[in-house]
Amino acid sequence: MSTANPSHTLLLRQIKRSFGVDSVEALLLLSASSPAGEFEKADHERRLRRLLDMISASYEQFDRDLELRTRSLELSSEELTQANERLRDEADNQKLVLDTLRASTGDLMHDLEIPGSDGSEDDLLGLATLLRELLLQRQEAHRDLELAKAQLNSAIDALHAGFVMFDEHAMLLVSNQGYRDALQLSDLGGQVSFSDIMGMVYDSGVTDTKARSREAWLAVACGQLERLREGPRLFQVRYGQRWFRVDASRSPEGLTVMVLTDITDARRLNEELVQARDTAEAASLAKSRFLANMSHELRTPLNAVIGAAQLLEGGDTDPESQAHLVHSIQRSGMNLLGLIENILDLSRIEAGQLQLSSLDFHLLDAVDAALATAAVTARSKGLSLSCEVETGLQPWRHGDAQRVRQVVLNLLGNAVKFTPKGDIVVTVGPTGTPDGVRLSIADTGIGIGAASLATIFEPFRQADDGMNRRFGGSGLGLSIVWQIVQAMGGSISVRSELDRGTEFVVELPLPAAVSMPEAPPPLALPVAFYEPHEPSARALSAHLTRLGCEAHRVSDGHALRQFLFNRHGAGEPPWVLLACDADGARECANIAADVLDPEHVVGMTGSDSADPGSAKATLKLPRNIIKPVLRSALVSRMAPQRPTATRAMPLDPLPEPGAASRPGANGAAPPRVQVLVVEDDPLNQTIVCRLLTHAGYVCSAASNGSQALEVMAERSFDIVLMDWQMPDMDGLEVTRRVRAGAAGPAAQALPIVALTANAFAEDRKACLEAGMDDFLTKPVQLEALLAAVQRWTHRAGSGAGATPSTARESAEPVAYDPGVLGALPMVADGSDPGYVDELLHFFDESAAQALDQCDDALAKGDTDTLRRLVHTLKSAAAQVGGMAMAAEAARQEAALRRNEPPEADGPQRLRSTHHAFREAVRKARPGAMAG
Amino acid sequence: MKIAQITCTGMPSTEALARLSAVAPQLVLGFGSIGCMTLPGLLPTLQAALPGAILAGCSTAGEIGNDGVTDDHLVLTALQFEDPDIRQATTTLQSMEDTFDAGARLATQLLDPKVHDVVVFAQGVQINGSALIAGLRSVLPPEVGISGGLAGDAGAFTRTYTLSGQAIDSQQIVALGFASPRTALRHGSFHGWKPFGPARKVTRAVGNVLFELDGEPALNVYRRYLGDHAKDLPRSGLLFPFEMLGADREGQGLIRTILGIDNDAGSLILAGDILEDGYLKLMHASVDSLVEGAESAADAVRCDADKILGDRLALMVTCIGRKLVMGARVDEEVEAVADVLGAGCHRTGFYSNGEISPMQDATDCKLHNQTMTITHIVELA
Repeated sequence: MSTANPSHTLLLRQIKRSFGVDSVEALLLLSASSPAGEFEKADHERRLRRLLDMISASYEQFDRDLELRTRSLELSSEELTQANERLRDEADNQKLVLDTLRASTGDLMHDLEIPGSDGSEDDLLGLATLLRELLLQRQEAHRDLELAKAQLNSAIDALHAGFVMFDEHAMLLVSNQGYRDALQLSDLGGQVSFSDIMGMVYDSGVTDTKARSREAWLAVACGQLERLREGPRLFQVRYGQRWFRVDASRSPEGLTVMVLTDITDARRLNEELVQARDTAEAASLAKSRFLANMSHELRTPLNAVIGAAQLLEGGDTDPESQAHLVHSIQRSGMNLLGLIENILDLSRIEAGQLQLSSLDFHLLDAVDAALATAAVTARSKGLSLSCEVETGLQPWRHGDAQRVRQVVLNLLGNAVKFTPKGDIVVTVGPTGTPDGVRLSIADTGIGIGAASLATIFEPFRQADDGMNRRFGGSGLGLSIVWQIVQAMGGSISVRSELDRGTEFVVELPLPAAVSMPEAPPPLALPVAFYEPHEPSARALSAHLTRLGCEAHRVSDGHALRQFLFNRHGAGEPPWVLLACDADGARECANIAADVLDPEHVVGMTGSDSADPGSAKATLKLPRNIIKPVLRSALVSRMAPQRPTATRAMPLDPLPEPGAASRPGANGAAPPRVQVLVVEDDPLNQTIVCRLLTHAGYVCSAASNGSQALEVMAERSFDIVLMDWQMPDMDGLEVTRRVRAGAAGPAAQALPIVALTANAFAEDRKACLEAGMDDFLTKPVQLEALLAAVQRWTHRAGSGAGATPSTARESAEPVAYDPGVLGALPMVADGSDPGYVDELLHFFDESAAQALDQCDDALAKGDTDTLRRLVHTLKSAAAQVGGMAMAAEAARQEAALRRNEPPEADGPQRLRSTHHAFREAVRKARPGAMAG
Repeated sequence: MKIAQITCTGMPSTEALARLSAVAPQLVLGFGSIGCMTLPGLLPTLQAALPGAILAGCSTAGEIGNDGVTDDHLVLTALQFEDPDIRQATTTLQSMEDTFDAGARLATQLLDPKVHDVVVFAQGVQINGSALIAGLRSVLPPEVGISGGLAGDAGAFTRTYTLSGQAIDSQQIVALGFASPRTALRHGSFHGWKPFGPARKVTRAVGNVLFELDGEPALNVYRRYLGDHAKDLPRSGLLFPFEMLGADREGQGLIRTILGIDNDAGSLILAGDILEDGYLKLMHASVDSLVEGAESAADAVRCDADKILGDRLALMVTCIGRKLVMGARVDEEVEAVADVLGAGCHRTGFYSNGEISPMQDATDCKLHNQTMTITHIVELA
């Protein structure tokens, strides 16, 4: 401190400002040297005072600054103290937090197996960062987990297949909609076990529990789950109508996962494939067997034909031998034809094409039809054939009449064939079961050895080769019978004794008819019959009893006379049935002659030959029945006048050959019907033309397709018979062209009938699809040929002699012509009386269906389909005699073929003709449209 | 350089003007009170008396001359350069929002590679001083020095004027560009205020309104530290401005004066924008410390006498706030500058509404509060 010489800059500056000097020494010097005068003195004092003021002001300001700073320091100190305390508190708190945090983090890191970084736990921020990282990781992991879980659930739900997962205690964890749908359970609820679910399944009955108890079923189901410990399993299960493949497996942790895949369609496809394979294999087998046997079977009769032909060619033979050889050729040819028919029939059956119809029919009509057919041969061999119907048999049955007839006919055919002399007795009766029918065919023939009985029903087997040689025939008949009986669910057995005879017994389940036609009124006639042959007598008695007649067997003329005498004048005049061929018949008649009314006597003969010495001839009986006596024959002979168009067809057991089918057989001149035969084989062409010309038709021929088209364009025909296989253009193609108008508009609707050796159903279908109307198989049989030609030209107009074109315009086709079906061979010869109703019924159903389809096709503008439908209707209607309908269909078809637009009311017009057809049929055949 | 100066209370006399014209000035700076600056016929008189000289200046809250600080006077200083190259630019400020553009317009008029320094006088009420600097800087290269100030109106803050060869106008901004390589301008700016107490974090502020310091109402903190002085608020606020510190708590050399308080909001209204995220420290000053500040400014602009040719001029722009603190002793700071710069250095300038000067040891130019800003103009030999 230099008190002697103060040098603070502020002081110096103020000294300078007040006195204009730079230092304290200068000021002191100035003060010492002056003041000189009053003014100077006053000035000096003023300056000094100012200096002191300045110094004072500075002190004041310093005081103020000090005060301010002190205050500020105090305040700051206080704030610091407070802040320090807060910090300390906070630090304590933070230490606590830190300790807790450190402990928690240590635990966490230990759990997560993260090695602790040295010292980092002591650093709060480091710790917090670590925690935050862990937290973030956890959140991320949780998010990932949630996302994965959501994705998994979504994926599981999206699965079409059923998915289900159970925990190690078989409690449900996850199931998707597919699983619940498969089990047909709407909701599984929470906390359910596998066993609970299986219980629900059992209770709902959606699965096949095989009649097990609930406990047993659950035990099986849970056992399946338990077995998953051994490894994954794959099994199939049915829930309701659906099949599922279950892939089940168990994870190492004990989770059970099942995936259910709907394999219903795959299974069905598989079944269909297996079926298709089986069918194919069966067909293949049948064909190879067929080929193996056929060559042998065909060779035998062919050898006979060739041999005979060679002999004839040699020309060394006498006329008698020639006739014999020609007869041999004919017989062998017929055998061959029969064989081929049987082969076809059998192969159809073996190919699984045996289709059984299911219609109401009269069992005895079917049996009678078979008897009528077999009777021809039986008569020629002098065999006695009779049919005995047991009492208590309900004859109206439901099933396939044709096949029943075929069975009886085949067995009868065998019986006739292998019975040189004696009786053949058919017995029809009920069995023990309600639906059962027992058919027995017993003969007194050569019998079958025990060794052969075992294989008797196998194809191409006869009892032995020797038998084959002796009697001819393929041995297919029994095979066919066996197959049919099997197909009908029946059984067949055979009992035989060599040289004593054979009995075949067929039992068929044939339920009672759905609707019983009104039973015809009983004849209620007193009938006496003379029939010394026991089986025939029993059969006749049974027939008569069934017809409601009072049957009275007489042993001789006296008994007859007594019977007639007793009955004379009492009620209905009695009828007499007389076995004309029997010994004593004439005597019997003679004895009773005085009381015998010839109008009430019916002769029963074994042959159609009018033996001049027979009772029939002697008695000049107007009414005759050729044996075996059939129910229908009895009715027609003895019944009072009945309309012919009732259900019982007029049945003549022996029609004049060709009489029923030959045009003009009823005495009218044959119409000048123009037939075009298209056939490339000259021989066949000649034969067909000859047959037709002989029957009164006008015949032209074309040798190939092109020629046919030319001829048809030039001239008009009423019908065309078209060979299928021709070298230039096959018959189908020719037909398609004709239908398309290649032979002119007139030919477009011309009936075209196929002639072909292709005898299968699909061939027939091909013909009809090509536009043909009908189908005849080669070799052409006269009756079938004439029937077809008549059927197809008939509809063109029944007016004899009218030209085809005018006939078509002028004649109104009838709604129903019974003659068409009547002309069918099996109807004409009485072999299948139920066939007519069957056909009518079948047509009625299919026509209604086709008409509906016509509506559809018309609505859719599908002209092709419409034309095909109309064509089919035309053919079908003509085949059953629906002439008006066929004509309308033909007209529409022709218009469509000319590419005219479809008529809006076309189906309706067809429907009205169909309606008229039904009405007409109903009137003519009350039973036909039943049902 | 030759310099002549006159100080008058009204229209300068012909004789006085003749003393100015005698040096054949190329530049005449004029600073006067509102009354003087609005004297009718002042501009034509000056133009007639000083033909060929560039006129520049503004109204004041106190004029500075060679004789010290005056009020209600007009101080005219004539400068004659041996090697003159001085450009003048003027523009009219359309509105406060026009400030930046106005600065850019002035700079465009002066833009020449030769121009190395710009001195600007702007009206001092409806203007954003920071934007004016930014507008000038947006055109001028960074090495061009900018200084000057905002005109004053004796603390009324209603209407100020600037002087140019074209007009004396309340919306006019006048700028001078010095292009001669022999003319040198040195800048110095100091305040002399002393911070005290802890730095407080600005926790809430909007524009120039300070709401919170350290999460506490700013007015509470202010009152607590002012103690007895708080009862004189808001007047005493002028004596305790804030030092603005950055987010790093480093001083920016910027001071914000308290213009007013809002008791309801507990807020303080400052004379300029507040740095967000920054810190504030209370300041106080004594006359002596302010004088020391002025000395420091003068020290910064001192230069070697042997390189100088003729007279020098210290153009001082100092804050009206300093005048309030110093009161009757206001002359002391001017004297202190004169003492530092010595004989041969003429003084002129004014108490302003805002000082413009580069920051110390940098070319970055700022608007200041509470400083003594010196532009030392010399002609090199």
